[in-house]
Amino acid sequence: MGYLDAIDTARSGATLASTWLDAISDNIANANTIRGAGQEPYRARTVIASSDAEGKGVHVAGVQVASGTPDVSYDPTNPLADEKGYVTLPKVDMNEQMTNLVVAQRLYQMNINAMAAARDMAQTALSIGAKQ
Amino acid sequence: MTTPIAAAASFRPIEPISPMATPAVAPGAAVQGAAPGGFGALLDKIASTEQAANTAGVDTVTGKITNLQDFTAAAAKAQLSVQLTVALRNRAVEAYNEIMRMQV
Repeated sequence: MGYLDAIDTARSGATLASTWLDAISDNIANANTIRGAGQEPYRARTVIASSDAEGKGVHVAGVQVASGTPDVSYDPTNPLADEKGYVTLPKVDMNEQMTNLVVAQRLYQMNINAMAAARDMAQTALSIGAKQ
Repeated sequence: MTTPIAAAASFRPIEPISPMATPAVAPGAAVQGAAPGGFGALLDKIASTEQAANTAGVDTVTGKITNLQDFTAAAAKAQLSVQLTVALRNRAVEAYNEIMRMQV
């Protein structure tokens, strides 16, 4: 049923945006997750989108973990601090996360709007020649 | 100058009325044969779409589906399918009524 394909395509986009929002939410929630010095810090995760074959939408291909050396902070009162008093800060860029949050939200809205447009178009087609 | 008789001869003679062609299959058999491929298949598809929407609705309220767009998309598809069926049925009944109103 061809007229329903656009709905499924938009649904896949909305699912991707929703998964992305989950990742952003996880990143923001862990923005203060401090680990001990020398330990692997919490690293921000980003959802990788990949297009489906034959224009059937999009799916989550994988998760990208933020790379780079994490910042350390001098916090001797922290129980996780090493003997020199340093802790490892999470590798989360809050500016990037907030920007991505807006983008993911708008992406979700756009996909839902596309779904509504597909439904309205099908309903318009069904009303051709109908009695008022 | 042509004569009146010669002009009349150029017209085609009236053809005798041929008997109505008999249908290749009996009416009952024709309807039965057409149903699975046409309206019947559509109805089956509508029923499965409706079933999917119902399952998605139950899964959503019982917490099995965690993303709402799956349910709303299934509901929209079921709604469209039912609207398509109703539109087709209305046109079919309308055409039938139109023929039934024909003066004989």
